[in-house]
Amino acid sequence: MNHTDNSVQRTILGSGLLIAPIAAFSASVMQALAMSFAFFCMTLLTVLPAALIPVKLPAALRILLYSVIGSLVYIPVGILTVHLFPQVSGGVFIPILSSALYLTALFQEVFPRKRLLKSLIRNLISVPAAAVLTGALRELFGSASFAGISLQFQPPLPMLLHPSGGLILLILLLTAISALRRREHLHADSD
Amino acid sequence: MQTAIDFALIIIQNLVFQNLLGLSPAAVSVKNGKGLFRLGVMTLLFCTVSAGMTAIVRPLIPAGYQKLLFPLCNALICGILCLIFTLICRFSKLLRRFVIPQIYYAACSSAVLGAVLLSTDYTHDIPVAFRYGFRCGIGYLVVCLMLKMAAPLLYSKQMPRAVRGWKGLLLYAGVLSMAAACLFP
Repeated sequence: MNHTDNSVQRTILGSGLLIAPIAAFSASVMQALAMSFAFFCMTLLTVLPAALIPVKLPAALRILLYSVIGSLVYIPVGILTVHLFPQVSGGVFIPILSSALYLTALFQEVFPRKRLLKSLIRNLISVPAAAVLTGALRELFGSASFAGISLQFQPPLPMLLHPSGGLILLILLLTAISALRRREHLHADSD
Repeated sequence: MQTAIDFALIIIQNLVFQNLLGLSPAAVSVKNGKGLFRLGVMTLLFCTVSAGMTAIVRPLIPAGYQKLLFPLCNALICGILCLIFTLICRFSKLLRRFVIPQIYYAACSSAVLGAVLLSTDYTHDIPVAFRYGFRCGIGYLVVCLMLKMAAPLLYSKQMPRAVRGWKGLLLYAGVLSMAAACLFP
């Protein structure tokens, strides 16, 4: 496995985590922004205290601690998200983020303790960027509007508004990005 | 009649088909599809117990704070269940090797929290909440079996490298979800 593959896999999206909630909820730019805001706050407030929990503790106990931290963090973030994005109904997806995050924190090498800050910054940028891009494309091609403004044409792909449409679109975007990065890496090697 | 309705709802109100909940643990916890059935069974257990137990503690939580505190209730219930199951599995080498990883993934699964949140939207009644959680868990198990059937091919070298592995598995789940949405709009 080359260096590019490793660096992609050490991101949340590159390791297959959190994709489904992001794909299901980001059906428009505003929803993607609400999701990104909640993700940003929850990740920052969950991962940093979770890093203080000793790795030597039994995994079951760590799950309990991580999940309690995640769900405590959800309380202020949930209230703040509703106040900042009153037009967006979070449904079950904003609390689901807290659950998905402690899975991330526990099992994946997404947030290695030695490079915590670097990986935190990388994930805090990549996930909201992917969510907003997916939201914009889904809104544009699924409902023929952008940020709530109607663009007066027939939506070509209304199925994109369904969660499964979002999931397929996000996976295809991720696949295209990794294929491009792999090609770039191969070109660099051959040069 | 109720049983027939339950069977229909397993597909129509499926957590994965409707909301894509619990797909990430399914995608990252398995290699070549092995372990999906165990993950489905453990998630079924967690969904049933957590939805029912949350309905039991619900009257103790002030009405205005219930929505905000349900994830915390779920976290405590799943954490304690996870500890109990882990302690039980320590007595057997086989269970320790094959079941404990699935217990961890099921405890953190968004399908369990989704079942809790949807059941609290749906009912205040404790037996109905248990039944709802069980139905969600069975729906998740059905999807796990469908993914398990396709997983060997999706992880094999016959798949293009770009979509091999969890990406193929999630794409397949997306197509299944889209088919379910077309069949049961």
